[in-house]
Amino acid sequence: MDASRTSGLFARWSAGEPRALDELLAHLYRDIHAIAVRELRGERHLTVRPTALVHEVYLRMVELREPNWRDRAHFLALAARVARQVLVDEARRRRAEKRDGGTPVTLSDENIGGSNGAYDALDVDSVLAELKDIDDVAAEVVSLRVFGGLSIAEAAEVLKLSVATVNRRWATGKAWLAHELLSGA
Amino acid sequence: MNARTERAAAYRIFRDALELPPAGREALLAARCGADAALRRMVVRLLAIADTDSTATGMLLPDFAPPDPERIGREYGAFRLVERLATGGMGTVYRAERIDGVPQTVAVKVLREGVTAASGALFLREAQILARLEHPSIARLIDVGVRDGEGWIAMEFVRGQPITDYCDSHRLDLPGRVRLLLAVADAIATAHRALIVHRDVKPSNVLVTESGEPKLIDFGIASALARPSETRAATAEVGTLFTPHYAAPEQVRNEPVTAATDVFGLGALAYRVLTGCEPYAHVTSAVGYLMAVTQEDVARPSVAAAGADALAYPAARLRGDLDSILMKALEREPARRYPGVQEMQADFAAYLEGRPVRAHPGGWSYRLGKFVRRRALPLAVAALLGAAVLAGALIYFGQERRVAQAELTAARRDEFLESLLRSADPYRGESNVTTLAELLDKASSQVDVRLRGEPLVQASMLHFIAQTNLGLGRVREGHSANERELDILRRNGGGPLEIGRALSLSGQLYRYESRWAESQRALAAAVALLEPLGVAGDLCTALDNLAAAQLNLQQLDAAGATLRRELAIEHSAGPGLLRQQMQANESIGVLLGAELGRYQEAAHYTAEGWALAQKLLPPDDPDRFSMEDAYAVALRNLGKPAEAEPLFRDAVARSIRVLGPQHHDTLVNELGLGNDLLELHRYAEAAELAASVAHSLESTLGPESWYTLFAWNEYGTASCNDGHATQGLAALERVAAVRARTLPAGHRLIYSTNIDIGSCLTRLHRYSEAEPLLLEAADGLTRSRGTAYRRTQDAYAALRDLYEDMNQPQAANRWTAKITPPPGR
Repeated sequence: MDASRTSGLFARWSAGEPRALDELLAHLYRDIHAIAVRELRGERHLTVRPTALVHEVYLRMVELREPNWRDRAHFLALAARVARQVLVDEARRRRAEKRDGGTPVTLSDENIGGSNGAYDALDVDSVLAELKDIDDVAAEVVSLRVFGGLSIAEAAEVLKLSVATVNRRWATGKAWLAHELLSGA
Repeated sequence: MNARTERAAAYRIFRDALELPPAGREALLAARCGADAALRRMVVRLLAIADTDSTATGMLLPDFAPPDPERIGREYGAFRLVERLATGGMGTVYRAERIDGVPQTVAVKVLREGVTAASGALFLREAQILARLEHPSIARLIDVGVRDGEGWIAMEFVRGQPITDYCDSHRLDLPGRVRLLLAVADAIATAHRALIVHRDVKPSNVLVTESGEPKLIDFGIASALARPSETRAATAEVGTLFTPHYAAPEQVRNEPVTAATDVFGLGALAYRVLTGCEPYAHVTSAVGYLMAVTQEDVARPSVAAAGADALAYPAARLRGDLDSILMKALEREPARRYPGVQEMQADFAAYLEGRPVRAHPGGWSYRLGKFVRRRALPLAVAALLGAAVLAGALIYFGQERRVAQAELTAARRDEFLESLLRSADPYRGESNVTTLAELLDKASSQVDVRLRGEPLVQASMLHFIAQTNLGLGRVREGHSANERELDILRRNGGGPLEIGRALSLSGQLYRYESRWAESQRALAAAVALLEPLGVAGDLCTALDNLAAAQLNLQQLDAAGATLRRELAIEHSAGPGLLRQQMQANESIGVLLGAELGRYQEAAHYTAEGWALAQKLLPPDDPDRFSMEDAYAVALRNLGKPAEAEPLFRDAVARSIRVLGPQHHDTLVNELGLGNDLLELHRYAEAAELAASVAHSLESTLGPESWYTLFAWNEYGTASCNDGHATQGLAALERVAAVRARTLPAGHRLIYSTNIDIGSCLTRLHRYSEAEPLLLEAADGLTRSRGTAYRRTQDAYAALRDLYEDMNQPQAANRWTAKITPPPGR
């Protein structure tokens, strides 16, 4: 999608037009999905870092001439959603092909975290879907952190919550995710 | 309670319990879990997980990573791993000892599987370069290899602290820190001279030994491992590795990494070492860094340092030179940074010695450049900008306005080009830009981004790209750049000079493609714009190309007038326009010869041009051998093909050498030679040459282009005469079909092909088909070009042969009587 189109949709969404979001997501999704697929096809062992996808979303957005910094939170939320969707779909496709266990999600950011853990995006997604019913703020925080690569401060900015609250929800949500993944849910 | 609601209940109890200090939790559990043992077990498990994760905010799920495979004790080459030192983005680093007992400690980095797979042979090749790198401040590379699918690198083991820790623990003063940075800069500059880019300069990669020597580790490893991808399309595991706070904007964008990237990295390192804060310190995630580094300027070091605690010196001491040096190194656009680490190193040295530094805040030309772009700057503000800028402003607003602007534009364009040339260094492996063509494509793709907001510079750059592509015979690429240039100029108020030049180039490009009508339109517009400006050189070039278009559109009078106008300007302008004058001679030669059949005069003009060329130009100048070719054509038309042949051959040989065998001009020169061979009755040779030229032209210009048709025509004629009449005829008929469709009725080239077809039919004894074609051609050419015209004479000769073959001597004699010997004999 060309930059001016993206920019226009983004502006409309930021200005409070919710329908623009669907279109924007669809466009970005297509672009980013194509990249993820290209990178994953035929590479059994390659993991896709969610943040890499978020970066890609961002790089498409910065084609905008004068990025509006008030949109930062909007952008971060958007990018995390796109990345999550792409990874989950790709994991689903891979499962359908029974090629391997799914798309490994590296649940860490290379340079901020330190782990090499890789989990299946579809598993993470379904754990978060259940958590959403129990504690939707925690689910949202975990999703932004894990799929969007956002820091606590950024997640707080996106969710319009205090850093302390986000920290607490992160602690519980993360423990829940770990519990569920480790117990093979 | 079903399983789902029970799990939800467990989560809520866990959440509430976590708010309490550990001592208070038991009461809560007892109250809320009651006798439900399963529920209680789950809550306890959740609490245990949460409590073991002590680094709650910094890391993402750090405790659940599958452990790095245990490698201690394994052997890698001559080394056995002894101790794990660190895990980083690319892999894990170990301390290792030699197996054979020789006391040697090394650092072995074992790369992650994906990293090894992605980099492949590049890694081993780069390692060879690295192994040659000797510098006291660079950790030596000792060995590399692959084991169990994992690449590994053995490096000199450096006992030291990261530079930041060292500076802090030693309470180093400002000059002490700058001296360390100077040594680091020297190491990087040395590596750059060996064509290695570090790409990951950051505190943890710069260790300082107890004796105070800095050592760069991981040198070139990042560079060895990166995918050589030109675009940022490939977002893979490896493609997006970067270190927040130290990665340059081009790195996070997955754009080509060059020496300028290390300038940024060194700038960021210096920023951290001197101010105590990282650049973009407010950023808290990788994506946040990505946004910041591509859009925001870094905070001025002296300002950032003021907010840092426990600095060993007052932040104000960074003001001035050090501020300037760091800001210049951390420019977001690579072209605005120091051109190389060496220059940055020189500024650190100058600072230490109290000499003036190179880096000014932007530099006056840069500031003036910004000023020029902000045309409507109120004078009151201009007055505040200081004398130097004001002087520039006066120049700009005064009479020299155009000159000043043009100089700035040219300077920025050159800067951009230079930065591209730098980035064309062989840093990035064999697949990188190695030819001028690739460089142009790269420049073309980066104009929009890297010169954003500078339309005049963009246009100027695109003009250069289009012109150079034309010179390389890459017409399509030339058009594309030229169209972008015109578009930018029109949208951003380009002046008549810029637009005129762009249109002139457009006409030239069309000329290459033989799209004469478009060429004429563009050039006529260019001439109208350029004429009042007094730019004789540009004007003459446009006129010359216009004449060519008019010639080929059969507007012979107009072409003659255009050429006379051009020559008049050139003669009055004197020696400055000799090159243009030579071209005019060439064009006039074509007009008089190919079009008007005035071969003696044509030879006169081209001989004069050839003499000028020999006097003025070095032997391998393309304009010179193009003139040589034109003179050879004139000689051949005078009936002296044997004299022409060595000139043709010389022009072809030079053209192949200078422009390449597939270049348009080379192919056209070969066509000329082929034609000469026809005259010399060396048909087999001519057919072979023409076929090869035809195939080449077809692949670059398409099957219906002007010159492709010439080549097939030549091939057909040669084949017919060489005993392959059927093949030859087929080729000629294809040419005739296209010409009949694309040229106006009565065009000389339609007749010309028909003469060749008629001769061929005669050989096949298909007289009744040959006769009308030849008669029509003879009649048409006699009326439009006269009896002396070469092709008219050829038509007469073909009719004579036809009637002789048909055994009609009387008719044959009638045509024989019309034949006159070539003028040169």
